[in-house]
Amino acid sequence: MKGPVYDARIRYTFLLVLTLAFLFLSILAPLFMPNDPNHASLSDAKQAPSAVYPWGTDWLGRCVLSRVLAGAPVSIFSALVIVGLTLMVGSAVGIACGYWGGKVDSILMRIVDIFLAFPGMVLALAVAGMLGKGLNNAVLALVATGWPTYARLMRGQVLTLKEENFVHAAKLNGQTTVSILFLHILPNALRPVVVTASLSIGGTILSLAGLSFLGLGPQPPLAEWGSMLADGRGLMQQHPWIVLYPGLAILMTSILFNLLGDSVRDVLDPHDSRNLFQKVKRKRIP
Amino acid sequence: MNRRIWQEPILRYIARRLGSLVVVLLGVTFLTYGLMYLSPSDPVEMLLQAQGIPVSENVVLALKEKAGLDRPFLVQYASWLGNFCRGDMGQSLIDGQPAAEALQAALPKTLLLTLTSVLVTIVLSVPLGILTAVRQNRFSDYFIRLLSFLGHSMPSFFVSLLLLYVFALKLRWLPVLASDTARGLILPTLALAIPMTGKYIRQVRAAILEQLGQSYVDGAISRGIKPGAVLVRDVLRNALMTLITLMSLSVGSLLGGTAAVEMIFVWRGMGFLVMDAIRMRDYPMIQAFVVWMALIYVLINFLVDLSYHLLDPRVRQSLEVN
Amino acid sequence: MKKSKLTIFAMLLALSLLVSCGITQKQATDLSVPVTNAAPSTGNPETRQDFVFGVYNFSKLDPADSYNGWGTIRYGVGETLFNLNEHLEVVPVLVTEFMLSEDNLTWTLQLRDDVTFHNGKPMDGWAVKASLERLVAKNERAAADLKLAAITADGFSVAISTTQPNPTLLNSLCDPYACIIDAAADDGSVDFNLYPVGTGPYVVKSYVEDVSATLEPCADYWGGTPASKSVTVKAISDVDTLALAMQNGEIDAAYGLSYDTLNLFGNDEQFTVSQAATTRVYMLFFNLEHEFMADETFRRAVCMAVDKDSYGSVLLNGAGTPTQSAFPAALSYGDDSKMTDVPDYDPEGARILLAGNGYKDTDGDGFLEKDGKKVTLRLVTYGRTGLPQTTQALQSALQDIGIAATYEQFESIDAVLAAGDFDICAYAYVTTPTGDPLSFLSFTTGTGNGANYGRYSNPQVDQLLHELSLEFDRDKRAARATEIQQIVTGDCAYSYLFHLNMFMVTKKGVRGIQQSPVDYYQITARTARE
Repeated sequence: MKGPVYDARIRYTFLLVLTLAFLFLSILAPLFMPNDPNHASLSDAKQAPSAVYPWGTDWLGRCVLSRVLAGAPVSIFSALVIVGLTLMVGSAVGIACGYWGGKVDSILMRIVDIFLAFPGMVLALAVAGMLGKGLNNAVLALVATGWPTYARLMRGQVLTLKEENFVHAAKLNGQTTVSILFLHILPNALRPVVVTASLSIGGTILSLAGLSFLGLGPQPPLAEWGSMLADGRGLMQQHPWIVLYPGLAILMTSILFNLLGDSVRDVLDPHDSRNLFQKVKRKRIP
Repeated sequence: MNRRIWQEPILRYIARRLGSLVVVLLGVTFLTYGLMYLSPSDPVEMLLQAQGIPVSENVVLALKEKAGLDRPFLVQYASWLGNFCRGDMGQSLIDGQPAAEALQAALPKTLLLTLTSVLVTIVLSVPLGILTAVRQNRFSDYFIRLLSFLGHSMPSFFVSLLLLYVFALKLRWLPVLASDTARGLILPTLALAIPMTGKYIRQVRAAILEQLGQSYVDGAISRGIKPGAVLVRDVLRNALMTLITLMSLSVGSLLGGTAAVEMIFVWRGMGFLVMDAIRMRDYPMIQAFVVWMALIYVLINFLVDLSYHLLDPRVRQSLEVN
Repeated sequence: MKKSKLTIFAMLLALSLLVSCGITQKQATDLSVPVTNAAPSTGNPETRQDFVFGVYNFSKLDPADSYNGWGTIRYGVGETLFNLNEHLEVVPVLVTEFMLSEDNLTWTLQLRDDVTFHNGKPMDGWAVKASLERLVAKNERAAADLKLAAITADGFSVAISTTQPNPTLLNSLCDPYACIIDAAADDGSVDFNLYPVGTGPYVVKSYVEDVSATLEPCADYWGGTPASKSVTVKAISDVDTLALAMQNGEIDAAYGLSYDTLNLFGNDEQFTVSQAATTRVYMLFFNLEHEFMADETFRRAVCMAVDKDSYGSVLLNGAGTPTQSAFPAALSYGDDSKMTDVPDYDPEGARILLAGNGYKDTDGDGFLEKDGKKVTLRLVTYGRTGLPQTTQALQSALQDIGIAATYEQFESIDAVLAAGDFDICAYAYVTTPTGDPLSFLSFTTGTGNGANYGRYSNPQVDQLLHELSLEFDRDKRAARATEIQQIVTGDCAYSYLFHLNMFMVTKKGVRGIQQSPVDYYQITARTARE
């Protein structure tokens, strides 16, 4: 009975440590670059991996390893910033709706509905397309696409928690709205939001790489994995290392964050299928 | 008697939903139109630049007056919306083609690709999801989940490149250029379906596991009904909601999510069109694209919601009570 | 029959000799395959095959509409009265005899009497007159080039008079815009931009905008039976997909491939790569009105940071021939050795030159300042193959000599240039589209002229341009053109980087289509697959 939960916790701890180590390394990544990632050396263009260029060079003679390393903070931290911002904006709106209700709720939720009416990447394409290329606009585009989900989730949580006894008790004790929100409601409402957020990091990395691939992300010479792939696509057959390494970097990172997301859900989310399954089994015993 | 009781609430429900749809769509158009004004550059200057005409103050002012862009924002929006409702979605800044015409040509292509991708996704993810649930924690469960994890962690453009390399270039089985023929659609369809399948196998698995954990399954089995029959008759029927949600979610992610794949396979659908428009800063085309996509999505969601009410007795009952 | 087989054999032999891959610059410019549609065709209606042509930039087809004439000619739908041969000399095609009047104002052309439009109407003097009059009414560029005063037609003869002596009239008649079409057929019943009525070997059967055009052979083409059963021109706007489609055998010929694929196809026996030096020059526009670029010494230092040889050999994969002149070396006014005042690649020298002229890194950030102000340049370009690459390489090279530079790529660059919103712009310019240097030099270097985006102004150059516009003597024209370039490059007002050796890939066994030095001759009556 204790087994699976215990396993999930170990797995979660392991993945969390791994991810933190990975994040730490990606902050430090620029320190390990063997070469200047933006330095073009035409005489060294399209070279196979060697001692000087461990992962070879691209069409402009830039070191692929250095560029993948330089791109790590760009790709990963942009994704984290996107998820963080969507979470904050969405939660703020959700809390406001849930706690105050009434007109605030109906107006804000209408706005949420409007944003949710844009399917998938459509709004992101529109925002990035209208505001122009570049990393900042790509981040903005993905935040605009993502926040309504959190708003809905948070609103639902707050609506339930508002009626809990401990909240009523706090109100009777004369606590301020701010302290009720931050001390009593938020900590309890945060769980499902955090689960959703951690599950979405991997997807956000892919979405950002997708915008980049379409040319709407960071502009040259800034290194970013999606644009490195788009840039080197034509050389895939003759000089595979130019696309192989940034491609693997995207794959590995999104796998890592997807694993972490799954594991966060297993540990935090009481509605997980596995737990239900266990519960039923437990019921059968008497 | 019985019929009237559930018919009336659902009609009321439909009316209420349609009413809020109008509000939502109004918001969508407002947001889409307003976005142009958040753009760092003046739309008229962009228009001139796009056509290769040198930007001078006189030309800009004259054009603004002619296009009515010197009027207050809300007036402009109202007239744009009025035209839009009458089917005039503006003209391309590049070649003057009516946006509605261009979209009409592209829409069926994207819908076709969306349809094939959703079908393939369902055909792959439902049986595999059931298999992994039934054989939970066995080898086939782990193996399929591993594959689904890989698929889920790859962007569709990356899958496209891999598929092209293997099936077109190395094996020479399939064409590179997408076309209306079945053969031409296989690779782009797979490129879109594989990442989605990866994602949805896991969701189907979770949904089936949840159903398997319900007491009615134990009850049925203890009454001597064969597990296979329970699975097909009860579990699948009860998991149907999940499948429908899944379908609407995947349609949603495909509308607009096909852009990279359409570009790679030179499939001139909506994604291709909007990427062209974005590159050329062809605002009217981008606007028309966004509003159309939202309209389609909203309608699909409406139908999905409606199907919930028709399918799920619990939701139906809650309506009746209200 | 025997004779025609021999002709094929000879042509194949010539082709295989000339268009094998790794062709050198010299061979390429000497391509002796006639670049005219007029060569007798040998199509056998019984055994003809369908032909699929994949192109990067698909075009509409009304020759009078902007640059669409390139498509009309390229896809074998229309023809011009004269063509340019491989030496960019004017040769008659739809014309048998032509002569200039004593006063240099009127050209009289005798037309072939066996040419008919696709609708069966004969191409007589009146038809040519109507076609050209429609052209100048619709196309400002053509009106400015042709300087027409009046056209008189009589049977199969037509007399064209100009408002002033126009030494380049026949060259302008080679421009794709001057493609002869049946103007009477443009009556609004069909979209003439999709279904033009020309005299070429192929007729547009169906045209799907931005997607493809299906052409069928013209039954009574004056040059013989077209050699393919049908021609499909497919728009493949993604160069990497275009290469994959060619490799996968889905198309018979590909135009507009990335230069990175040269080795890929060149080393593969299933394909033939044909290459030809074209008159497209990759060049840098300098904005002479901007703070730093206004300084000639500064411009000289910038020119010294430009590694033309590497750009041509690495970025263009050997398809760029470094140059000092705006025109290819094969032309009499493109002699590199006469451009004596062009700075050589010398980054170290550039650093010294800048340091000696007050450009110093005073705040220690690795970039230069002048009088306390940081030197930052705005580099712009657009998407044509090789330009983004060249500009990014230049950005890096400038950083190496201490000049900070930003990079931006636009879809449509002309407005950015016209607004003067740049310091340096990399641009690919077809300098002699019709075999004459005047138009390019005048446009880019004449004071206040249309493409003089850097606002260069030199009275000496203006005077020489005026003389050039009235000069009929070939040698004197060449001398004037050379002199203008010497002054312009000496002032470092422009930097000409390299000429493009364009290439086309065809399946083995495809004949009658190859990269021509004149970039608008592609599908002809002889184009076919075996």
